[in-house]
Amino acid sequence: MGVASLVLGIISVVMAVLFSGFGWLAAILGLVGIVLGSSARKKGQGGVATAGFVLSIIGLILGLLMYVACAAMVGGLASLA
Amino acid sequence: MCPVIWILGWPIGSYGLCMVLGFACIGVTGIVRGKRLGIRWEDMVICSAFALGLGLACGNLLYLAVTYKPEELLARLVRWDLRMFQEGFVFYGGMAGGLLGAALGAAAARCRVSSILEAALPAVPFGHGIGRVGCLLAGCCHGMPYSGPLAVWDSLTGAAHFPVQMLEAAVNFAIGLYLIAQAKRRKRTVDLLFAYLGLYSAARFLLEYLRGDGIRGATMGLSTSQWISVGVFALCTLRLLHRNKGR
Repeated sequence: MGVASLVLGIISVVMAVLFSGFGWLAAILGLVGIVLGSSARKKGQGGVATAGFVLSIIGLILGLLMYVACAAMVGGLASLA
Repeated sequence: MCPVIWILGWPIGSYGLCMVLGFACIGVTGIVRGKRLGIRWEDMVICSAFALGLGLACGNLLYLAVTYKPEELLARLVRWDLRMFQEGFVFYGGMAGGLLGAALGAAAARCRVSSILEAALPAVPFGHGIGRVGCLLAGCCHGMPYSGPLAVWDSLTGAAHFPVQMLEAAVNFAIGLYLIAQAKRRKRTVDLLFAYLGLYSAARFLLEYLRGDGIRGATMGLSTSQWISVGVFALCTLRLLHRNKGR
């Protein structure tokens, strides 16, 4: 579970940084990684679980930061194009 | 307004930044208050992640349901046009999804959902208010055309709007302060939840008249959010009457 969290955390961060158009997917992977990392920490798994947990949080935050605006703004931008 | 903020050369969406700050406000408050209630922070994190995930998903799905016709959605899905999942959210969908997520997370973490809500609920209006500041910066969910004091100039559309986002944020902060005061008086969590829903639905119904974005649709003179507000307020009123009848 800790390893899964680490893998998801890494993918989440990479996706958020390199593929900003898929920020929402990075956020989803980050959320799953957070759940798995927390569960692993609860069971006493150390290092790897903590690393996965932290990376997943970073991936979630970065994924959400790519969000520029909700619909009305997007529509407004499109109408000006 | 200011949809993108540049930090160290990186473009950061102001709406996304406010989302992160809002969720962090709720999460950190939940962890700190939860510690006093004997909840492990790992359990609070699990519940928060479930609530956030389902909240965003349901908020987005409700947005899509009220914005597009079913055939339009199907056509976009067939074309594999997934950008619609990034277009926006409706708060009521997010609230429902968040509550469901908190319940599922509590089940997964084997803790009581009432304890989770007791810890995090008073911070939800503050997080929501911060999110509305993000709406102001991004220029979305804007107010009706307005040129009086405190009008917000939208450089992209070239029009001035009523600062309804700031008014909504202020209302949310006021509701949050009320919930904190009631929580200190040891009110039951379910009572706090219905108080929040009742106050917010009443405020939202009135604030919708100051909004200028009809993108989420309207039926029989009321917007979609107003109809939802009527339903939620009615539910809270029924619950209050039922509770008082039992006393």
